[in-house]
Amino acid sequence: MLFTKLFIIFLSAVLVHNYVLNRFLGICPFLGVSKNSSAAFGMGMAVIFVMTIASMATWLIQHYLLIPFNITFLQTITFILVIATLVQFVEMVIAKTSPALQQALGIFLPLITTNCAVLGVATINSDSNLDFIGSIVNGLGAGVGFTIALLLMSAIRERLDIIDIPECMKGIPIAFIIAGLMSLAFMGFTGLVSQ
Amino acid sequence: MRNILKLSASLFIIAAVSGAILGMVYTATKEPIARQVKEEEEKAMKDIFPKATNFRLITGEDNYIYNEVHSKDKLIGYAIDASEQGFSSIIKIKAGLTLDKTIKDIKIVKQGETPGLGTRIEDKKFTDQFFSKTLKQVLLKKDSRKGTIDALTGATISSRAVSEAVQKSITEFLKIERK
Amino acid sequence: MSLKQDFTRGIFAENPTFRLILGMCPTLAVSTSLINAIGMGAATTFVLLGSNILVSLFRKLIPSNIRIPAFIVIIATFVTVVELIMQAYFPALNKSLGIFIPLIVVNCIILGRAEAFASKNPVFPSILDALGMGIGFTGALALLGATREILGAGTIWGYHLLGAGFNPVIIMILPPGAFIALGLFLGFFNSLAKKRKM
Repeated sequence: MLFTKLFIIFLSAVLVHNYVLNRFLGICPFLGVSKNSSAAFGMGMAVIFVMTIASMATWLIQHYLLIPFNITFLQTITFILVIATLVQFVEMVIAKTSPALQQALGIFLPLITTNCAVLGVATINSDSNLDFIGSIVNGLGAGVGFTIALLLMSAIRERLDIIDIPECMKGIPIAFIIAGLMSLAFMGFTGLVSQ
Repeated sequence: MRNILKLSASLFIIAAVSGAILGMVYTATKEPIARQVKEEEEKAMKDIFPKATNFRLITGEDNYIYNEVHSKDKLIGYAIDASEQGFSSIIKIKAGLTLDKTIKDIKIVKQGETPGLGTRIEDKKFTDQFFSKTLKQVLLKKDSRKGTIDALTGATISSRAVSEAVQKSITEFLKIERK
Repeated sequence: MSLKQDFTRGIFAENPTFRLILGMCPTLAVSTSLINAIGMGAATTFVLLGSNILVSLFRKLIPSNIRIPAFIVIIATFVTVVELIMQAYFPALNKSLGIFIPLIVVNCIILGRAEAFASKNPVFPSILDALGMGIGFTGALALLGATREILGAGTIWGYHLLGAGFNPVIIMILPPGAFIALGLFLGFFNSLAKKRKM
């Protein structure tokens, strides 16, 4: 029962409510880092990592600090500061402990602070009253969904470079049209979870 | 060391200024927000039962809260608070039942669905469909042959969540009543 | 650079949405109707104005190596102010904009202007800059919102425009419509900018 519930949360975050294509969160990195697949993969991994940890941290803060002291109106300011600090902290830990990981994720980590998908996950977790495990699973799912969208996009854009399209549509405009078509495809997953 | 002190001092000043601004705005808006929330709650109740004068709690479990509605000491119906997972948020509804257990009206109390799509469950056009329906009829047309509720275009999940909230809470209520 | 330029730059030449391609998440998400678009634009302009003023006032006080956290605190403060005001006085709009009100915090336009303009300029030009950028963002949102609302719902500002016979192109108010409409608009403004230069 518990497992089914968690699986539904996960699946819903990855496919049905894909954070990029359905909730419009994290569009900036989605466009910025999708020019080639290896960068997209690195960014995706970094986002999965940060989203999961951020879900954990913000849930603890929400339930052991903001709610007991009745200061939930400070939620936004607290969450963004926690996320920014967390990203810095993760960056430092990785730099000290794992040079290989740092090489892979290094340049993407600072960019994540302003990735609205991370703050979005934290806010959605608290809005939908998920429990601790649920929040973590939702964060993980959101990250995986983001990565899938990013990888698909980068694969398409690599091929797009050699295709003849009107001058004014090159780059970002055509990327948006493609994102629209992808979003259309992802809408097919809609009925999956509520059944 | 001196550097750290300087950095902390300037961060401290900024935090203090923003704390002061927030404190002021929070105190200034605290009452209007509380009033807004209360008004909305009462408005939902009054919209469903214009004649209601007082309520008496029957039971309140996690998702469902049941109230008897009285008008000058006479029982005129039941008010049900229910919630259900919608598309991107938990949808909270309030439903009114008449004494013969048909639906008097429903109101959406709280929701955070997709702007322009799921948010339309609040429209009268949608909620009016529930008027004077019985328990068996409040399913979506596309889900059941007996259903009478048209789902909103582009917001099937939100529509289904509302109809399920109504359905499940009434089913539960009838069980409690039989006891 | 003249004061007039500080103001108009954000509206046309460096329009945050169509030229700089910043703040895409709220642009896509809340442009389902004109009223949502204007509400979001106004909220963002308010935060932009507040953060530009404070950042500009404190610009000599903030050491450069902690400027980003300092900016974030300032921006988050104004976003919380907007959240509270919305809850207190505009509950309907607050409900329909939902999660995108707290997310103004991570709107890159605001951090971008704090970093690129307000931290280097006096208060008055910073105010003009914020207003210009805010109007540019609101205008772009309104354009997109109006287009999507007319096509996707056949209404404008909630009023029926195209008569009962019009069969709305629902896809326009669904997520894919947001991407496609914005892509086409960007292409259009690109070609416009190119013609101007020639």
